[in-house]
Amino acid sequence: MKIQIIIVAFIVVAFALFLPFASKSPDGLQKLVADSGNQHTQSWNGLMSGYSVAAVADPYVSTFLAGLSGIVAVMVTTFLLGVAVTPKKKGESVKQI
Amino acid sequence: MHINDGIFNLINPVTNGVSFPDVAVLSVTWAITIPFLVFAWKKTKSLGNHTLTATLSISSALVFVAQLINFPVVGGTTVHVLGATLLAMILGPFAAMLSMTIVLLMQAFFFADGGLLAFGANTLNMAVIGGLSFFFVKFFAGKSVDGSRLAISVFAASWVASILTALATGFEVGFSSTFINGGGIALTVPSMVGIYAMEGLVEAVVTTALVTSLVRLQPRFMVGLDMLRGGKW
Repeated sequence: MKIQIIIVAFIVVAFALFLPFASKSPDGLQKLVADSGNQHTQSWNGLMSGYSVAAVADPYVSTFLAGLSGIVAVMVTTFLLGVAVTPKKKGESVKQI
Repeated sequence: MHINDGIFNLINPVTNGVSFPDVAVLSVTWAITIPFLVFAWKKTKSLGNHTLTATLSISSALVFVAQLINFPVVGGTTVHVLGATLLAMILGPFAAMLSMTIVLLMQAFFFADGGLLAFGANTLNMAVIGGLSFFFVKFFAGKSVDGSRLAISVFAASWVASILTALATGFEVGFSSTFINGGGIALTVPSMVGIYAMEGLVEAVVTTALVTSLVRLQPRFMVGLDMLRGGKW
């Protein structure tokens, strides 16, 4: 279990370190849409649109908190998925590494 | 690479009628994606791997973070690493499809990064094609899955997967109402493939470095590697 905690901590630290260098420019598809002159309206803007927490003013902290929430959401959901696809042995709970 | 809602519309905003090209593309992508996901679910469940849960959770988080960091390329655009081949090598092709699907779902639901309407298309492009990149590794590596042969195979598979993902995205958006009368696939396919041919090289370098490091340091976590070496599918 110790190695998993170290890897998760490494992922969060790497995210915090690389975040300031992430480009805000549009990706290839977004630029293609923009260059075509088409309006691009979202029907769903997400709970934290643009990877930012609306209540936090500082852009770095806002994006970091949104990303952290995403990491937790992904980990919890995939953990539940893992539990669902892992067969339980008779008489014991799901064994984790 | 994520297709957002607004590129595909069920109702054409100009005519207020049903947007048939968009409905067709969305239906076809869902129709291809759903059987793959059902098959992936069954195959992952049949593995009976009691060590998969933690690996699935951590590798999915890693790919989520990798996709958050956009880096600039020529022409004022950015790209991000997809991480699909990395997932396929760690989790195997089928669990990788499920993992990437969850990542895409969280991105769409929480951050509107990729549309809910276009979720089937995005899942096909990144989760299904990404998961299938495992078979590119298997094809390139043949029976030799060690050392430099494995590294070259992972590099090639990552690059090919990026190109195929871009190709699929280009085709889908090319047939959308947004582009069908404004260049269509003649515009979207070369543009997407051109951008992701460059991104694919970065993807390939990152994936190869991580996979070869994991093979050296923690091979017991790598279900995909075990499969390549003749383990249970």
